[in-house]
Amino acid sequence: MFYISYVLSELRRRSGRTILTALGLAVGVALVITVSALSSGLSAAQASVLKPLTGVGTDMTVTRPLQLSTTGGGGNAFFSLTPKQRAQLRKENGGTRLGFRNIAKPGRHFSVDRFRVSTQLTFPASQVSKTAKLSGVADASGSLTLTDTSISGKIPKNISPPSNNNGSGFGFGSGNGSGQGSGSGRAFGPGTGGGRFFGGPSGISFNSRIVTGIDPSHPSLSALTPGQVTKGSYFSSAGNPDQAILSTAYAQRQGLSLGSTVTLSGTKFSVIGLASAPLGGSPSDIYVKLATLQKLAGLEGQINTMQVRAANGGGVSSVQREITSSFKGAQVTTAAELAKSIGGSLADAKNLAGKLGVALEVIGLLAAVLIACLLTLASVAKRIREIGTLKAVGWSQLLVVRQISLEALLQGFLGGILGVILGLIASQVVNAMGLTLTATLPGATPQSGPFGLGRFLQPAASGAGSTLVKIAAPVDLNLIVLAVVLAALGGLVAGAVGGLRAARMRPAVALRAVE
Amino acid sequence: MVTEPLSITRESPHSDNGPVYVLDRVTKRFGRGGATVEALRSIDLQIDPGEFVAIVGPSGSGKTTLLQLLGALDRPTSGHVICRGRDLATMSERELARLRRETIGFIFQQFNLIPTLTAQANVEVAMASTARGRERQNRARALLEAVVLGARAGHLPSQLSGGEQQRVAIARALANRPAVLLADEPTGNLDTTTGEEIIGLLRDLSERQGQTVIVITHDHAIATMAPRVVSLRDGQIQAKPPIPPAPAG
Repeated sequence: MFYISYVLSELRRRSGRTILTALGLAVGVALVITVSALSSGLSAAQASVLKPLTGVGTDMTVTRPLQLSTTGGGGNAFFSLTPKQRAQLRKENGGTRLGFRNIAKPGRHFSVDRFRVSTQLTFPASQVSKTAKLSGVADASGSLTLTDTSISGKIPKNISPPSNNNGSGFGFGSGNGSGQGSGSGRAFGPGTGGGRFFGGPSGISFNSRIVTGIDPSHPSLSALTPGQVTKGSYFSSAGNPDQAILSTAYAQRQGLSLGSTVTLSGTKFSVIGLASAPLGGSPSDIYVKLATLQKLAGLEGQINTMQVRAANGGGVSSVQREITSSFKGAQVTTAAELAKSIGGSLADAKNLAGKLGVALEVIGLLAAVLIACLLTLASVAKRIREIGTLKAVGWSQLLVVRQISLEALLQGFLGGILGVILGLIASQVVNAMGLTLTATLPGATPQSGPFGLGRFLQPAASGAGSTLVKIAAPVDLNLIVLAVVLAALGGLVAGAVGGLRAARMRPAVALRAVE
Repeated sequence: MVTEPLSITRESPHSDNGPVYVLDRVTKRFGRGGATVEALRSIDLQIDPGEFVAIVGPSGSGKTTLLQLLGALDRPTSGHVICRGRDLATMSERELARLRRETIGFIFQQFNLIPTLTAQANVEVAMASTARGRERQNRARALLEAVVLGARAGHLPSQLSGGEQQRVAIARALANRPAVLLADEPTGNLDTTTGEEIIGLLRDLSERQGQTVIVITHDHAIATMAPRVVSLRDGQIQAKPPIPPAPAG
């Protein structure tokens, strides 16, 4: 067609102007692509953080936390509990008090393990099958997370008789929690790790780690999923009961690897796998089979966390209500709630990308279209006489507008492609920079002990609620197509504005214009 | 000079009876309020088919304004411009565009070729909506050959001499077999010899094919070649033209 070849001649023979206008649009397009890519990269990062919670399919986590009074503060929090809760807490955490006299003879070496449930009270495992029967529940699985304190050393030669609680054992540490949370570990301050036994005879050390017993018959719905195993293998339902999977961080700290053995309460476990700790999951140090742990801890038939999957995403909140009403004292945390509570620089960046990103895109595009409009108007102004000539030889107004718009459309298209190239380069630069952000999930860890106990009992580097996420800026085809279309539309708008202005001039006036 | 006369103009330009133009008390003012300039004052003029008319006069006498009114590029402030029986004042923008396309061929002093298009494409511009594909190309080629520029069809205006550019412009003006050719100082930017060639080409069209031609010029040497001269001064037609008009019809 004649019009097309005319357009191409114009663009080709005025290449400087063409490239300038296209570049104007390209900058805007590149901005849109980069910001969108970064935004989707941040979403992907957040999704990867949440995957252990949402991707695998655990929609809800059910626990029975200590119900601390919100008015109780400091070390008095314990006394705000109901007598029944106090009794259970004493029973399940009471083993901490260690009478040296009972372990071994003075001067002899000893090693003893104590399991405690900390803030998450146990409940019967039968709750799992009950919950699984609720309507809207696809599956449920139970797990038991305990803090194991292994104390070893030599019994002091001189020990006083165990006449009172504060004798040569230890009870609860001094509380520093504010008592505001409802059983969240945060209220009690972060654990500072195991170490030397304070104030006691020398030569005695304790080592504390978090142990979770999981039900291997529900691998995808447990505190440790096969997907987290980075080395070695996952539990098999039939296999040896004395197998353990270690968190990578714990194994590194302890110098353990596949095939090593760990001893829990005198039982040797062989390490069959190493697993990465998911954010918000239970970042335990050692995972064993549920039944094995229950037996070791003397908590047969008891669990303290239940993972529940809803039959469909929409049913999560109704299932949540159902569980809360049928299971007294239960706290149901949904994955969505966890997602909302993600903090750290990742969340900040995500929020920034969400708010500022859209503004940047809009401003970038508007500026680009404005630049394209001005450049087109300027170039049309230089061609007024040409347009007058076209009208003198019989071109209609519509034809003139169409011609100018077609030129601008093509120019915009070119700008779009240039912009995509610029945007791809920018996103590659972002990828190459390897930015990392941290994601923090507050209070998602049930392991911290009450009243500052966690200060002693929680291993230092369990990295409970925080993870580093690498940020990428992926560009997908839809984004590219969208960007090119936007640029072409920008060009079209610019062309229509410029073309209409020129075409509406009376030809006599246009012809008088000085070129 | 025109080698294939019948192929480039209307076969019977006299088919429309009656005058090509009738101007009835045409006045054109420019500007607003007190600063108005009266470019044309109550002009009466009739131009018949096949006439070769030279419009002469000093600068600012209203020649170009008159030609623009004849070419439907502008509207008079008052009075009527009637082209082949139709009053331009009653016509819409679209109808005027069509009139310019089909009835009028324009030739400019500055040639007004489109700088990015070849000679061939510059001729095709006029036929963008009146002829298709090969037909358009063939006709453009024939027109360029008729003005002895066949060999230069692929050249850009910047690669052509002034005379060559004006011949491309004439080919473009003839593209749609117009009833009337309007030329605004077609020799103004050319040397004398080339100017005479161009005027010769236009007279040839008029004499051998009965093409109506209206030429503005301030060159009296060229005006003497014209059978009819309309002399303008201060926006009015001089009562006594320097050369007596040729008999109408």
